[in-house]
Amino acid sequence: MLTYIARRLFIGVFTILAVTCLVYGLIRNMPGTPLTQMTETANVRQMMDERQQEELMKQYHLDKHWIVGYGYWLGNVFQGDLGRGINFSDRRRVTTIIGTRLPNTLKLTVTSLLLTYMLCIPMGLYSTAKNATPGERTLAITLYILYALPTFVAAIYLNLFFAVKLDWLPLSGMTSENYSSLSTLGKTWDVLKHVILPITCLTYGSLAYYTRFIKANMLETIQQDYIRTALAKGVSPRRALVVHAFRNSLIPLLTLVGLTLPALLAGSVILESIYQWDGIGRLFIEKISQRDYPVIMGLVLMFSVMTLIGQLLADVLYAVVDPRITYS
Amino acid sequence: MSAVQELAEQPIKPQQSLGFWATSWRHYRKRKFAMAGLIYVIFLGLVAIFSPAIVGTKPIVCYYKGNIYFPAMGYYNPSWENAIFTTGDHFNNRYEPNLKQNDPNSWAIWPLIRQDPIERVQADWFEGQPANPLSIEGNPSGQHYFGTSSVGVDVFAQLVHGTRVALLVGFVSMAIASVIGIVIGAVSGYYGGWVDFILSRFIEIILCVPTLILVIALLAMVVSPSIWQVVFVIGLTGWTGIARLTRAEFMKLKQIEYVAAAKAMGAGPLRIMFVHILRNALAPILVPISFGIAGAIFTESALSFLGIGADSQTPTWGDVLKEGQDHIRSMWWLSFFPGLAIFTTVLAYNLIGEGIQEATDPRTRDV
Repeated sequence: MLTYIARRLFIGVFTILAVTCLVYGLIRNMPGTPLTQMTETANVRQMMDERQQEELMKQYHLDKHWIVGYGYWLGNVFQGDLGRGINFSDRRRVTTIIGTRLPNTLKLTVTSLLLTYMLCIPMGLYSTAKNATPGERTLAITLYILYALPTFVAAIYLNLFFAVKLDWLPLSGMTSENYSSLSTLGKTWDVLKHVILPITCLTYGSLAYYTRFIKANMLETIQQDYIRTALAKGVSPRRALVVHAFRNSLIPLLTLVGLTLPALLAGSVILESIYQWDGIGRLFIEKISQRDYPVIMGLVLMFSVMTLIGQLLADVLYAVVDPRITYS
Repeated sequence: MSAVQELAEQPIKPQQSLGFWATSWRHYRKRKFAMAGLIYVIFLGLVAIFSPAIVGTKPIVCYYKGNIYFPAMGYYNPSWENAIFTTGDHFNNRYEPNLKQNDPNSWAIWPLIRQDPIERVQADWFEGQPANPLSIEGNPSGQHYFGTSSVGVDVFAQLVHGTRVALLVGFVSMAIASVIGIVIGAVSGYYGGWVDFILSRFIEIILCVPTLILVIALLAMVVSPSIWQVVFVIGLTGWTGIARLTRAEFMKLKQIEYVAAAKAMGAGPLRIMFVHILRNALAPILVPISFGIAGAIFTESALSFLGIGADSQTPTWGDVLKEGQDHIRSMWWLSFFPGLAIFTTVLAYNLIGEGIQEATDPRTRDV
């Protein structure tokens, strides 16, 4: 097992090297550099003279071939330094820039993940127990439609109904303008009102997917002999379903946990820009248009490390839970 | 010879059993939702093909100065609009008054609804048709089924003409993705060993970056991407699922005896892979392709919606939706109808994918 993990980690390092090298090459070959993007938007006072620009180019190795620049970047990463943002509006360390945005994204994604798990398990069990009844069919069709509903369409429809027509919830933003003057209770209420719609949009799709997933697995499990044996020995159908069958169908569910890990950190580009949520997804779009290489690279590094850890975690958990699976 | 004898002497023809695809089609046909999805996509295809005949301001056929022209072809491609109307006599899309004025003998067959997807129809364009209302005046009405945009363009016309782009994006990008995915998956699964190792790592690398982020990064490489570049990029990033499934199918199928028989008869690896194995692997591969078309339509409209999509002359569904987002407080129809179009199309492709999956999988189809 340990050799398996070690081998996977070893391969993973190479995968990350390849991903970062690919992305670095890609972004360095985009038309425009961080400096040209800056002068386009900055006013005259902020414009730098040529000498200063050249200095900056040197500092960030923009004057050399991209592969050399990648080498410098990689060297710094191995020393634990992701660099600083190039754009004049934000010269903080990359880790700080990402660190200030990450809690906002996590606020949405973690809540959504917890909600999904809390709802999908009872719904999946209900679907299995009441399979092919009218109630279950209605639920299945609703879930299927939700699964196919694109997030931004859902977000717009929810906005049209709850924010425009009923005017119950705010259209976008993370807090109201008068947030700082509110009482503690008022603040909580204000935050709650702002997160309801984005969290709903983030949750319904995965909820539909997970419920269908659990149902499919459970339907397969309850066909097995040991369930029939349990029932023959007088276990109540409810107990057979919840205790005997559900335990075994938890195994595939575990792999899903591993695979959602990167999505937790990446957030959602679309939802964050609709709700003007200052999270990771929006940061990425902003930095792509500013050509802020160090920040983009920092984000890509984070995504790829998380994806690989998630995959590894899923495989390892699988072997831990199911003794039939061994990696050698 | 009696009739009985005659019957007996006739060789008994064994009833030919239905092929795999015919059986699958029989099972598919029984599924109401899958059929509804298929019929909807066929309907959209017809709308896309006949869009200039449904909504437009250019005549489908017209007789002008002794010749017959088809100006509506200009909606498919601006250069197909006959030069006599554009650079020749400078119609500027005002066909009816110009035709009458320049040639009293002219006649024309008009589209069902005289509205344009790009420009606002002015009062002098058609006799008896008032100018399009602007911004919040443009509520959906009998004149404008889906309302008009902030600059007075008919939304129904935009959506009907946008169907062409939406369907094209789905088909072409998935065609690109399928070719890449099937070739990489086939080679990886068939050869195994270090070829498989390298290709699997390659797939892993692509999977490491979230799709939408990869698409955005690739699109930033071109200054103002055309719709074809967007389609190409979506195809280039959407093949990993197909490749992984193809690989799994090939690893399974290459061990079956008929492959060994083909090898013994001297078939080369290319022939075995793409003639013998691919045929049997095609049914499961069709499923992610169908879901992929839905995904491609989603991605394209998401990109237009975010404002980083293609610079196309004809507005796409996502473009209309983006305008709706800017005016969400005052003009609900700009968000509602394009959203519905995107949603129903994505749903239809998902239903088709699910239908194919159930109809071709022997474990589920006989239930």
